[in-house]
Amino acid sequence: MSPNEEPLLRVESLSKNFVKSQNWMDALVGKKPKMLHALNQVSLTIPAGQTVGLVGESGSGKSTLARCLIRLYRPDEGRILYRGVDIAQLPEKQLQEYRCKMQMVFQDPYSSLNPRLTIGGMIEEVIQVHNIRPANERKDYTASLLQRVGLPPDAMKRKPVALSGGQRQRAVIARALAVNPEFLIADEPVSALDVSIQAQIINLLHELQQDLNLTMLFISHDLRVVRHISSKIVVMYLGKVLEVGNANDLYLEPLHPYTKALLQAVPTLENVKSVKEAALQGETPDAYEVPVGCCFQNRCPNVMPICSQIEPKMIEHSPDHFTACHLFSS
Amino acid sequence: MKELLSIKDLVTEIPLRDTVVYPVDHVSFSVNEGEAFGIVGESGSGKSMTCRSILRLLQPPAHVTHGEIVYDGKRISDYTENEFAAVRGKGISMVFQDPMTSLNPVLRIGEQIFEAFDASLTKQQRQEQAVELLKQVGISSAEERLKEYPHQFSGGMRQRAMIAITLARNPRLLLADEPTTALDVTIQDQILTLLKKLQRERNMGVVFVSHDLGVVARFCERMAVMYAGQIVEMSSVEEIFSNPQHPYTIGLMNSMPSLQKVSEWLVPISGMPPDLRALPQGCRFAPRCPWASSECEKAPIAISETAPGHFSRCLKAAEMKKLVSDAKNERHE
Amino acid sequence: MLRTSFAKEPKTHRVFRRLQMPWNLVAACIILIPVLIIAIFPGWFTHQNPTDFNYDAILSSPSAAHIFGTDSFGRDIFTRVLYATHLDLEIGVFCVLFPFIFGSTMGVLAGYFGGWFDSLIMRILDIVVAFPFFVLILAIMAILGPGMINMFIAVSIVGWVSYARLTRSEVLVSKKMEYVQAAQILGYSKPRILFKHVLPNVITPAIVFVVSDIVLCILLGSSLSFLGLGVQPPTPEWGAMISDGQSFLSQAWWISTFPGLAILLVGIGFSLLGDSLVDLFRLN
Repeated sequence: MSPNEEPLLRVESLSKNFVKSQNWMDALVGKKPKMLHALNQVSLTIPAGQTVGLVGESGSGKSTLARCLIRLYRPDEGRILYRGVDIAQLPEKQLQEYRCKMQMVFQDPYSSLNPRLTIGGMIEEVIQVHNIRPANERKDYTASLLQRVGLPPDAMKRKPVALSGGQRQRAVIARALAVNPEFLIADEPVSALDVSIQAQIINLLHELQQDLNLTMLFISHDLRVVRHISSKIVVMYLGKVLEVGNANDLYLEPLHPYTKALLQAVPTLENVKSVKEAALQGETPDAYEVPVGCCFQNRCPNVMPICSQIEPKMIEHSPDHFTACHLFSS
Repeated sequence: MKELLSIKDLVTEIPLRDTVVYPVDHVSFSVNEGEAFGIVGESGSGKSMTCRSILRLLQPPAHVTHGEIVYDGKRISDYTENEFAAVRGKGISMVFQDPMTSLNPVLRIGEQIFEAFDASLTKQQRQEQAVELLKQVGISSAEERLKEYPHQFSGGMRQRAMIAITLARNPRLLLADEPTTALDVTIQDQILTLLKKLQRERNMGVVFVSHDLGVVARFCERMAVMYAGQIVEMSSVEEIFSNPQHPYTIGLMNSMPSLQKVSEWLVPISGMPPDLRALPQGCRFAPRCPWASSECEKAPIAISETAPGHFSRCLKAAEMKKLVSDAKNERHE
Repeated sequence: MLRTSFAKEPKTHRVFRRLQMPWNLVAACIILIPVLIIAIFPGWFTHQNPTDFNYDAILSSPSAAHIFGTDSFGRDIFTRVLYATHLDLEIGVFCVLFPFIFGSTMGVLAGYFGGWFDSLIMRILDIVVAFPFFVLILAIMAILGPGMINMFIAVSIVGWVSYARLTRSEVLVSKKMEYVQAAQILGYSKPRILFKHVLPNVITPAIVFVVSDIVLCILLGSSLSFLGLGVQPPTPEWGAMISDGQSFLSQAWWISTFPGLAILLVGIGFSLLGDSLVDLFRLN
């Protein structure tokens, strides 16, 4: 991608907080409700026509980020520039045209399909609402979509309960593709599937991304899963981006201590010898209080005094490889 | 090494509306003292059912119909309910997958650990031992933690608490049913390290059930691969990964994404997981096997020792290495 | 010899499971369809009039001429039971209709949109629920006066809250379902999401509740008639008939018993219908 090419999506300083519901006594006294800082000044770019892998554990904010990008949530601060247009605060009416441009595939195949609609009925509703095809072409279009995702045509008449997990996930993908999106967010699309089916769905997404020149944001907590199809990886922790880089660079030479620990913690067939010490101690803290300085200071094996004073900035260490860590700031 | 657990021809059946299925179909394996034995399989393979069958924790109408379970030299499969109750929790204990639901939400953590202790201990002894247990499983500020409720613990801590409860009666055999599946990667890493350390210290045998080959590779010394209720391959972990002798094992290994990227395309196992109500006549994996022949589909395949200590349920086990490298070459062309 | 872990499923259950007929529904129809026919065409089954006095046959026990006997005015109990059927069914149905429609709608809107509307509905709910149901009905009827229409009004004012609470809690769960989020991402309008995606998936418990509520309302109507607040004499109504027979229980047990049995039968019929609806709506 040439440096002058405008990325499909540019996120700038995005923040999102969730207010924890208070009991009425505290509210009466005027106590401030606790806020969960799910996203904290997150910035990243998603180049067009590529797959970006977003990696993080629970509490990292990756799902919140996905839902802000797709405007299921409205971010509190920051901008989301879709081809240069800020959609972060757009009212629902104006957002409608973007609904057809970005779509999402969810994690749980058992709750992402309306149990009372047949697969065909569900897709036809999409076609009907967005007027994608005239009435006489709808059935054929549905059939071609199902074929695209590897479902037999008779799946049209079935309800989700008759489909397996992998088949349901294919139906979800078909529904997302029905509007011809250019941007697809896959939020842990294979985490709930069996291993042998995971590979099928990952391959399917990869194939669709290439054939349709989709831009894809593939979110997962499993570093192994994103490895194969991402060209760029973003690592998140506690609502912040810690490292960004090309897939090869990041896996071969991780910079941030958290990335290193993540890679080390992954159980692979290659490191069959059991390791004596865990890769990372401690647990991810709740995001109710944002610590001063680096968000990773409580668990970092390389923590220094400066880490609890100043928040590290995102700095380019080598071409296209960024990290926010005081170990690397000059 | 002394043999701690021996399972022979275990069969569990579930009667359905118009048929009967066997989620555990003549499963045999053994676990030695101080050894971690892994069982790998996908959903429907029967791996969880096997654990529950051993400890008689099945939900009716599922029930064990056949087989012999020998623990520490005693045929516990013959025990009455009362006799078995003495074994369950004391000799053999179990850790479950979901830390959210395996702890009682209305009891404090301390109470749940105390329950596991012997009735003969005094209150003071219980407190001391409970604190000690929590420390052993890596929970800091143990005294305060004992008074807390499960919902105040994070997922990783709940699993640690679960392990503490399990260890309260010093079991010699631990059945772990996907204990880290619901946890974050770094927490999983911590729990696996902890379990391994505890296993070594107490010389416990562990049966570790998982769908993740990587986790089993890291934790276990020996392992079995299950498919459609049967063990299809069994050997030491090193042997299986260096010289797999069943197409399903190979398929699993190939379809698993790995950190060392070989290609951008994974090699999935074609087809769908088996339906226990409609199993094929011959080899159960034949419909999905790239090397299946007519011989494979004729009659059920028995498991046999294809190399010392290495068992496989494949007729072509001997040629597996060659078949695999041929397939690899084909893919590169 | 291997001892099994739990008892095997009893044979009778296994036999029933294998015959795939919906026994509940069949039984419910066997009861309710004749009841419905009787309600619409009571005259087919009896030639007598429900309000005909017959001073020659006061308090006579069940006989060939009067299958269920007669009451203190000589009226044929059998005829009165039959003619009361349509009234009691009406009570059952109309007492749940408004609460179901209004209450479910309020519950869905409160659950989906939350905010001040939700708080308002919940507070009203809390207030209504704080009073014992029957006491509230009596209080309202004391103001409105006796009669069936007033009973419908009173029950509607009080009864909708149960449905609101039921659907609201279902909607709170349903809202988080990913297919609802998918509908939002697909840019569907709010009415479409509410009526096509949320409502069908939350209404099942309410529908089941309707069926048992019908029975409860029939009993309520009977209780009110028993107290003299519901249907006015000489119109036959099962509850009123039970009340009439109260003072004659030792001499003429049939006056109260047969209307009571009628309530029992209809109650069982609707309960079975409710069970079969649960089975029907279950997706597997």
